[in-house]
Amino acid sequence: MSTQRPPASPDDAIRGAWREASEDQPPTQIDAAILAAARAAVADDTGLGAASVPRARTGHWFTRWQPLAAAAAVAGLALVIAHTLPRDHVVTPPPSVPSRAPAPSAPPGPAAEKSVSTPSAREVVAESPAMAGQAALAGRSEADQVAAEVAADYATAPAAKTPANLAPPAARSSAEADAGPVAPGAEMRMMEASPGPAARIDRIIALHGAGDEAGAAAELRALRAADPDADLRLPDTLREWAKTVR
Amino acid sequence: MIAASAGPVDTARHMQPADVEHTADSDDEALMLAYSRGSAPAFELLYARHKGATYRYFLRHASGHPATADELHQDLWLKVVGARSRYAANARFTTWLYTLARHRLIDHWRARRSLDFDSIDDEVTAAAAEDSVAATRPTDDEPLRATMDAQAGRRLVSALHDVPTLQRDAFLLHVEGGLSLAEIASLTAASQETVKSRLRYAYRKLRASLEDLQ
Repeated sequence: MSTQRPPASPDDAIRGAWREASEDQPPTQIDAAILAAARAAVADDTGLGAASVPRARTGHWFTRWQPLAAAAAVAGLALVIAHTLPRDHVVTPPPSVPSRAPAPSAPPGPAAEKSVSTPSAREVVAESPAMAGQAALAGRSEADQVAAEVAADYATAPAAKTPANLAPPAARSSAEADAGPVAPGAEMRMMEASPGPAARIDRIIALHGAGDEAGAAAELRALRAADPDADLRLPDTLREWAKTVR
Repeated sequence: MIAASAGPVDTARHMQPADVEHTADSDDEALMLAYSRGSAPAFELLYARHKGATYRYFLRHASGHPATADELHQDLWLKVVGARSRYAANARFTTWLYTLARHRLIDHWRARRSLDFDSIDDEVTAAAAEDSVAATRPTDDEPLRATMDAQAGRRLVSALHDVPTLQRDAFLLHVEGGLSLAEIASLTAASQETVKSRLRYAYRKLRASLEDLQ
């Protein structure tokens, strides 16, 4: 006991001993929490809390809208991916012009560049005949020529009506060898890309009108391959010209 | 004998923050009123004065479970913070503080379905003991001349666990809270004689735990 004089009574001695042993204190983190709560309460009372309300509301607003913004971003990203993945799936097959496309191991050069650009041109033509016509009208002769050649290849294929066979033979064989059976999504995509007779007729009209008779002839041959009565479907102004196409 | 008031309960007056010197000599009631008017330093000083005592009040009642004492202690002082605007200096701050503390403790026991404070047997035992205290008090008035060291303190803490709850509560309110007999009686809704009896028996049992040190 640290007192210098003897305790006055037994109870005083007990109290003294008790206080000697009473050194327990609350943890410092509880002290900090209580004092912080006390200061915050006073700040609210004195208006400091009210002054800080705009900042608090700003933070709260951001916190509340942050999940929505994140969800919108994720949804947008998912949409982009959903639109991008099938396109990549169709574009990935190698060039489809067997007579002009070099082997994959060929060194890069003008021919290689042409082979690389060929599928995209074909895609443009296949996806949108109207765009093909516009391109022809705009004088994009090189791309149109390639597209016409591809169309000619289509026309020479005997089983062109089958969606799975829409790809040119070389491309189809290599793609099938590499990737096996065509996936249902890619098959549907190819079905959507195959032009119908009306689209081919529109393309023939556009190419012929632009002076690209070779391209128009190729389209006509493709149309004849798919429809024996193709000439009858042409407008009267083209029927005379169609007789010259063999 | 039992003192009317145990006096100051904590040595935390020496822990005053430097920026509240103007309130360092203020009494508890003035500090609480200052805090209710927006003085955070007043609360810091008030808390520094009483935090140890309130913490130990809960710790001794919780039989040495620090987690329970932490929870109850924090709840008590957050309640003080929340009740600052309703505080009126009609009584001593410590009486108000330990009233809140005791209510929190009772709520805790009720939540645990413990009947510590509701034990009728405990009350009956205390009353019966009061009747026979004169006959069973051989050395109450003799000074305790034993050397009170740390071992004695540990024995007291351990012995208090065996003291009936109402007696232990009266002892803690008296020693840790510094409350007088009248304040404890008012706080516990008991007569002063009953409180005096509880204290007497608590002291006797604690003294008995130190007999071999005398």
